[in-house]
Amino acid sequence: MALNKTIQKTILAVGGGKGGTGKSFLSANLAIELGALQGDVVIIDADLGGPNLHTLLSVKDNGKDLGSFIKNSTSSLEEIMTDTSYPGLKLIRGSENSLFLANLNHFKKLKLIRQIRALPAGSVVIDLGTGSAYNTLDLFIIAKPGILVVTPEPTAVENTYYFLKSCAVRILKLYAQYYRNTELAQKVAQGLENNSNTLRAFFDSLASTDAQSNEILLAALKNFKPYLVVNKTRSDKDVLLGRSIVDVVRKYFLLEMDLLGAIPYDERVHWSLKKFVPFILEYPESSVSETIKAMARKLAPRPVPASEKNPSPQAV
Amino acid sequence: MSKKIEDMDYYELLNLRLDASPKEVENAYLLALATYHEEGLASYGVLSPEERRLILERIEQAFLILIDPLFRKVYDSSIASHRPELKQRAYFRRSTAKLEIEDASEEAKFLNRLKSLLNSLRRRRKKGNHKDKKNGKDRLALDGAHYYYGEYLKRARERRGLALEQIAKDCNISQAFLQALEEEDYSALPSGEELSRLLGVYARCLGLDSENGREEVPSSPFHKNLRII
Repeated sequence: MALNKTIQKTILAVGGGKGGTGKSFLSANLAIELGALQGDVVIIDADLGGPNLHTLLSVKDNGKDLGSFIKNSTSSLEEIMTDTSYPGLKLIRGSENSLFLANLNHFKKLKLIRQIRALPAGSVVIDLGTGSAYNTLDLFIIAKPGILVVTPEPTAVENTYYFLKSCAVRILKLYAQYYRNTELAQKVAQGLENNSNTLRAFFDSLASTDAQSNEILLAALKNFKPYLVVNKTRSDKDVLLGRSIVDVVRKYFLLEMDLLGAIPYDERVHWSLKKFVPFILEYPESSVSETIKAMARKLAPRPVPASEKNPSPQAV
Repeated sequence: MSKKIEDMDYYELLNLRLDASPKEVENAYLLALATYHEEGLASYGVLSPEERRLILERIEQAFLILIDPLFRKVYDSSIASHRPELKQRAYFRRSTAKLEIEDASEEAKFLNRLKSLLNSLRRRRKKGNHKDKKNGKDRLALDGAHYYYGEYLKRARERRGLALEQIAKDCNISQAFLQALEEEDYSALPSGEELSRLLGVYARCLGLDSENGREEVPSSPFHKNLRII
């Protein structure tokens, strides 16, 4: 375990505005693959719309979930981790109380975030579920990286942009608040929250009236670099959609987004969900699984180069 | 400071490396069209009509410049000041040192002409078959079939100090035809074989070719071995 101390922990959050794009499916399968690769992965079910990872991962109820953490009946997140039947993977169950994330107040949220960061794990995967509520956005923003899931449908694409814009607005407002700059916060609220402008339109107009604020706010967005996954692709055109979205986001939302991958549509996903068998284990050779495995390799924390160059005797 | 769309250079606009091959330019152009055309899923609900018009116009321009070796060279030199990676390259051969100086001083003029030429090309293109719009490859092939380089012919004539009227008389070709040729006004030009023949006659008249007729007159702005002599 000494090796783990030299490895930076990655916190992945899987989100995106629309329901049914496959966020929980991706979270679960990605976490299983990461668990197999690394051996110390925790997956957190933070789905506001209704948690179901315990079903996807067929974990029995042990009476502890995020709800008990929020209600203060358990003081540490580590206590509510449950083993799964998959190697290297532990689960933190979502709360059956659907108002859980909505009721999460500021201090409890900070506590939750602190404890997520302190979890004894190499990687943490947070399944955010549907919606653009503040608490969902905040968990997405603290993740490095956040993963946005989109499907090739106008509604899903629209929600993706809405989600990204909400994240950006949230970052800008938090930034303004942090520096106690109410004037700036107001500008953001007026220029972005109350209309359908793109971020570019907002920043372009800000640049002409207040160049200094423009610079400050642009800098605030620099560290937000989400990944994009296009799910249920049926054609080359759908695959290219990912690159198109990344380009639109760069040009009109002024955010650097990277394409993590495109997952092909596969009818069997539906059946594997019904059978409660994780797809990646039932069809390891399928192109869906291959894609998810490639994503896991890309996302897995890298050991420090020195340990690669000098493998320990056991490794040889 | 965020760059405005109209301030991005063509490489930034199309997400291309400075040394992108013509094939990469073409692919990037097709992807950009797919992204930003009116029914593009990726830009759905994001862009205002004005923003869309602007970026589509820039994409067209970027493609027309970057796909053509000569236009691209001239363009590269014009952006070299903020792209230090781009080494300043001479546009013309060393042996023609005199011409090089002359042409360099004319650069601004030339770029302006280039712009108006591109505008007219684009207008023509818009009038054209809508079906071709999404398929730049077919379009390129189509256009290549009847494009030639009016600007080139005009410069060649002017360099020889010949008025249109004069050379029309000398070569026994109608002045209207020559004018249409230089302005690339296709509606006033014959098509196919006849055009090729007249081009050949005119080229010999101007002394542009030695033996094999049209070879030295670039048949299209996309001509690979374009040379200014």
